[in-house]
Amino acid sequence: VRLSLTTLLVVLGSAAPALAAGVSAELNRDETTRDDGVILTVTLEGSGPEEPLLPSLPDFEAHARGQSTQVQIVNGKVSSTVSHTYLLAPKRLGTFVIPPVQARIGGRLYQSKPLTLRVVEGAAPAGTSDRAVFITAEVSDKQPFVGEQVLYTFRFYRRVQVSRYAPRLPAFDGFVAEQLGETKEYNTTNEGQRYVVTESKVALFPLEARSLELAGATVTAEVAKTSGRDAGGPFDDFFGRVPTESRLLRSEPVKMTVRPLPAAPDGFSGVVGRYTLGAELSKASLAAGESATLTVELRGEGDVRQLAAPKLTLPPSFKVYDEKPELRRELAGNKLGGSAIFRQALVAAEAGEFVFPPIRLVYFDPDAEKFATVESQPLMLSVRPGAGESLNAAGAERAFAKTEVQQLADDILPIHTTTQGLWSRPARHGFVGLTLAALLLPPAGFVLLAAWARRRESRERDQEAERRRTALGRAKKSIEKAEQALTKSQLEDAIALASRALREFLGDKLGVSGLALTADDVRSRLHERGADAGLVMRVYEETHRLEAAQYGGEAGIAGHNLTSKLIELKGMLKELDAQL
Amino acid sequence: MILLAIFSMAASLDGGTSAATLAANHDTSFALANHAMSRGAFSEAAEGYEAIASSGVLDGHVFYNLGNAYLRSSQLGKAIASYRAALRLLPRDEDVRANLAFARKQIKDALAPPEPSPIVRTLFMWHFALSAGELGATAALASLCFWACLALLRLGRGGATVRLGGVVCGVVLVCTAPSWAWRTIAPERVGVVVLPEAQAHAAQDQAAVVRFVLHEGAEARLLSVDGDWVRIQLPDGQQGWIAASAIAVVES
Repeated sequence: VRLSLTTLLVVLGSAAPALAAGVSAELNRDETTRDDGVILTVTLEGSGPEEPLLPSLPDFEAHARGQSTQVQIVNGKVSSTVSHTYLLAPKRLGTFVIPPVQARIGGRLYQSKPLTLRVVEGAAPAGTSDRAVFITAEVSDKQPFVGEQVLYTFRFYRRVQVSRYAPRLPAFDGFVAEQLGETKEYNTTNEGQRYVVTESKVALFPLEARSLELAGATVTAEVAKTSGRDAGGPFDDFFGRVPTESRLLRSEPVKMTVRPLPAAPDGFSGVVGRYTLGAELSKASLAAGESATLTVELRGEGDVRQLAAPKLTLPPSFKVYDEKPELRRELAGNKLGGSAIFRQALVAAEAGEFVFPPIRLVYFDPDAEKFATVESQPLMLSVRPGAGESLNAAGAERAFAKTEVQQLADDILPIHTTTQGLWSRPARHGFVGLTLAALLLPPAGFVLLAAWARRRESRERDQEAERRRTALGRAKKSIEKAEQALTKSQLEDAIALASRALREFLGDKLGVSGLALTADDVRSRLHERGADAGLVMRVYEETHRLEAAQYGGEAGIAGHNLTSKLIELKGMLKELDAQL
Repeated sequence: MILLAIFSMAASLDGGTSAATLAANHDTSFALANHAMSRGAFSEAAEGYEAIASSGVLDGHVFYNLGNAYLRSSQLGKAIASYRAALRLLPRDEDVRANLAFARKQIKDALAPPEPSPIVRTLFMWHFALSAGELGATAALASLCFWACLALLRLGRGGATVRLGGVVCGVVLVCTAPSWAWRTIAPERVGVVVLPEAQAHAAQDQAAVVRFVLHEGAEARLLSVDGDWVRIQLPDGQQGWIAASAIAVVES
């Protein structure tokens, strides 16, 4: 149902009483003819109306034509009036009772009163020139043969403004129906009046011999009024609005008699129409084992879907492989036709000269009202011996011609008799846990290991720093011991203590074992550490001198000389401590 | 050896004697079902294999044989579902692939099974060539080796060989660990139609519009399961709800 008009009427503070809920139905006339429809208006009053439920109307065709709504708000209470309009087209004459229409409003079921309508025979149709709108339906042949193509033409004429045009063609029971092209629209003159015509055509193919009546086509439309008191006032023209009325148009039924086909001759293909036939081979000559394509084309008027591949009688040495037929449907004037192309691959197994009999199609021509036959020319094919055969002919040793291995049948491979160990689901879950552990624990272990290594390296660095920081103090104590030994005239002990003090100092400062250092080691390492060159030379000489005195017994260092040397050594170590 | 150890440890989680008893029972059931197949009692064989599978056994050969039994019993949909389950556990088994291809030839619908493209299969070949168990074992081994190499390098005891070993194990780990996690945590699911015909509705309602109809053996990507309904998607993007009773769900 289309909403044709919705009017919102708001009455605020009005003293008008609220509408009572209910359903009413009315017809725009009590008596009508079979060719005219009546308008049934169902009005629902009250808040919360639902779609009305039309009763069963077997004697009418009902067409919904829209609805309109009015809403009222009275003292804050909302109520509405919804009108549904239907066009009823009578199917037969007589007096009919239209049962009550039911609808739910605000959750409660209401129903209208029953209505009575009388349908009488209409007056003889006026000349078409007297009518603003009318429809026609006709067939090209009222006595066709079974399978013959019949053209059904439907036309809708109008010379006034029309909207919401909805045609309905009959069901065409007992026919194969095919729409022919698009719906056309054109202008024409009928009995001196200009009309706009909408035309559609349908190709019908009767399925069985019988007498029948094609029901009339119908059209429902909103048609502009051209006379009467509603025929448009000045305000309608001003607003561009033209008053319309719902109309039901119906064409006359068409009586037809479908005739059976005469007794069919042998080889009748079953098709009706008019056809031509063409056949050709893709090759006139080929070697045994090769293939040629036979193409048969049937073309003409009729239902080409009924065409089957014509039978071809071939020698037994030929193998035939059918390809998928190609159907083309075409519209030639007012007739539906087309072509059907059948292709077959012919494989010759033996050499020889072959003449194929003509390919024949027997069909029924409805225009001539007799059976007709079309046939191709005889087809000739020359098959040469294949490679293997020619070798035989030459008397040569037979060669083993290679042939493609063809699969003769297919089947599944056998069952397996071994297992994967029949793992259970819990075992799989355990495996998942182990995999997770193997993925997550190693990185965690690595982090712990890295932290431990860093801590150990840090501690080692701290110990070396402490050793460097306290090196001078320890060296001074050793030198003081050397001085004490000197006061006791223990010269050798004093020299050993002084040498040890110097080496241990250097070892602490350089981060190595000092007692293993030679004078040359001392010089090179101090250079590397960027100590002052003069100071390095002095340390080198002093180291060398103390080595010589300690291990060589050099007399160059006497007691009083050693005392001053120890003082110098203290100063030198202090200087070196400042630089390292 | 390490893999063997992992497998043995995993198997031991099942519990000593009871696991051994169960395995023996399964072996017996497997042999009986195989015997039923050889006698041509395909339905009986299918029941036997089904009993082993439903007891929680995850063995590709059981599912493969189950597929054969179903196919011989003219239950095409269940056969395809069983072959798919077998393929997940035996991804390189040619017999499974051949029989699955054979079964698919008998499907009525011209519908490509939901498979990744050849490019994806080539780029991530390890993902498709290894089972979930193999992926997990490889990832675990690669993880142990990779972190061991890293630890040696950190302690200053690693040479060029250790460094190369670390790189190789790292690459294997990066490839296999996500693959294993994907297969284990969020495997793609496929629905296989096991009834002669299954209607795909627009909603989880038998009265809803039927969008399309699939026939037995048709495979489609499974998007979700909602009670008695499963939502599937065809390769062209069409989706629909099918009654769960008409579908066998297989992890891909």
